[in-house]
Amino acid sequence: MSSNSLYVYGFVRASEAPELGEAGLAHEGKPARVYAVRSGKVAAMVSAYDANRRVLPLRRNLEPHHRVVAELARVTTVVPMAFGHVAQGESELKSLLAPNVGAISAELDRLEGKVEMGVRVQWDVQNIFKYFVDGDAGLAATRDRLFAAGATAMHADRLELGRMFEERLQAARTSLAEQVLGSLEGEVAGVRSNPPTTEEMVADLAFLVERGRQQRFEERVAEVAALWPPEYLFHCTGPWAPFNFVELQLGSAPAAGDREWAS
Amino acid sequence: MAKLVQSSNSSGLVEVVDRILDKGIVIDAWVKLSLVGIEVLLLEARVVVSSVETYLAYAEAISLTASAAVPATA
Repeated sequence: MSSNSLYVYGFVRASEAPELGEAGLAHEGKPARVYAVRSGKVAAMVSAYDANRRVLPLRRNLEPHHRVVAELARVTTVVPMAFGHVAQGESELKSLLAPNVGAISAELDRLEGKVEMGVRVQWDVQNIFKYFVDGDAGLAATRDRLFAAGATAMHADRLELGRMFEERLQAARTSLAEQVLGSLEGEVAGVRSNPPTTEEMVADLAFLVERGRQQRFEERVAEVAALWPPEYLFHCTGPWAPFNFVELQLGSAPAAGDREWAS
Repeated sequence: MAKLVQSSNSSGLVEVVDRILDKGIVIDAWVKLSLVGIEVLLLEARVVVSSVETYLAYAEAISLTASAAVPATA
């Protein structure tokens, strides 16, 4: 049995665990072999990793992690790990797997035959603030009052203007996201909505779609986009492993002496 | 009609990072992710939080639209 630490990519059915070859994060100077550690009906997909190394979120690590998970999702059902998980060795890995085989297997059953499709809708305008002010008489009037030549905008007035903008932004997002969801959620197995990370983002959605319906879903997104005005941009990505849809809660492995925690 | 971009899952580091850093199974005992010494441009301001700073920044951005709106005087 190997005494290396093991970088963990995700969980698959033991009977469907593929051999991916030297596709993993670098170990001893080259991409490590990605293989399965089995426990009953499930397996963890792993590769050897230096016990003393932290995992840095750099492209050289992010890319192999992503590619391994993507390949797993292409050929089977995978419950993906978040980036940066390293088990201390096979016995430690198995000691966590063994009591959780039922839960992992149930999660694989739940996600069987489905992939994740991402849909992001954005305002594709030069200046999101100008776009909203131009479209809202209240915002425009407040701006003109505060920033007319010779005016001094008080701190409280600035806060109020900023708050007004955010209120308009959120209201627009709520209404538009509802429309997008209404158009797309019909034939899917699940939907998740993530908080927007920029002002320009209208909605950041993930859809759980049956593999055989992926193309139809993409066509549907194109149909919807064709009906929206030109200031919007629809970005459809996928297929992904079901990152946004995993719900698995695992019981921890029993404590095994001193453990090094990420600082 | 709105613009449409359709890309496979291999495009765009941002889309990848938003998934593999923020989503998926987390097992605390195994997390060896390190952010020490890394300029986390990808992680800065990943979530916009309402705050005084945000509102002031919005007001500043809106003030800049004012000069564009004021007609030139002879």
